[in-house]
Amino acid sequence: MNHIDARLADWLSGNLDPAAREAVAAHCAACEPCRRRLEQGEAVWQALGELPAPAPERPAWEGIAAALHPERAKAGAPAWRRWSFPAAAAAALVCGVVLGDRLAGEPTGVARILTDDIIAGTLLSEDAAADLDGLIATAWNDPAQGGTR
Amino acid sequence: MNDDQLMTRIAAGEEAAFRLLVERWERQVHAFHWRMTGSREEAEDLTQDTFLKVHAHAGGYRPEGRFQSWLFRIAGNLARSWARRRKIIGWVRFDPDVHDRAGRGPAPDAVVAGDELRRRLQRALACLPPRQREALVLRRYHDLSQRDIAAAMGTSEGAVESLLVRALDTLRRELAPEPGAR
Ligand SMILES: [Zn+2]
Repeated sequence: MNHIDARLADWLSGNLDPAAREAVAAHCAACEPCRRRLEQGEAVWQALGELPAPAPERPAWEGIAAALHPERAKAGAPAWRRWSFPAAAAAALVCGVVLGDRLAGEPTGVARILTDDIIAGTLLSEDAAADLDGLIATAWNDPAQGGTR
Repeated sequence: MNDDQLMTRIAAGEEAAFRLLVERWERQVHAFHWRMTGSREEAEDLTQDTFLKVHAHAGGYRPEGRFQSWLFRIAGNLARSWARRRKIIGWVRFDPDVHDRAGRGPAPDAVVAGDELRRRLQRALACLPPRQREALVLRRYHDLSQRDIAAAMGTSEGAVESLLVRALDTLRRELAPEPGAR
């Protein structure tokens, strides 16, 4: 039995017709795990709605017009900003802490130590970066990432 | 003028129509890329790239009333190749002014409320596998149907459903203690 899986997202986003809503409600009245999933899912859905996204700092058109008309662009205008590795590593490590907690497994220790370094403002050494790569390679395994590309 | 009409004009070379389209959609596209990358600067660059691709491919667009889905297919492709380029798929950067870098995993019995909940949720969202995050972001923040998400992500509706269910399960586990822990 699939419980409410197939209808969870539709329920949360209000896209179920009344009959389908009733069916979900009836199932949840009799099935404690699904009731809990639905309640917690609703809390998550609502909280997600309260996460703000920052507005762009400059209108997109500025850069787009410059790219469409390179002859008009002034020399010396800043080109593409690029990713900086320490920032990437810091991010990965913050994620590592979350993941480590979730797995309740080994990566946590490494992630925590490295995260402390990042927080203290230290840049990552090559060794630390290698640890990070290993952490990423071993810790994450999402089946959806496999076949589709 | 609707999006399809604008696209027809853009394909005919009308720059004013393109500008109108950019101004109509830039906040949504920027917010999408921000949620996918966690970085305002990356989001701005990817937003620009997205619209340049819209412009370049305007001639191939079929005005069938599904512009948003088409737009987010371009945006999603760019976000995914961005993640691949960085070789840190599934791991995104946090803006220090937006995210809490010093955040730690919560105590198991912590009461989750308000700002703390938002912080944890933000972090958990950022740490979802990219395809789960993409499906959830498109559904929650851009109101795309499962069918449109499937079209945007080049996958089946069933696959989208599974991505959404897994994403939601991860987030709710992140935020709610298991019943035994209460
Ligand atoms: Zn059930």
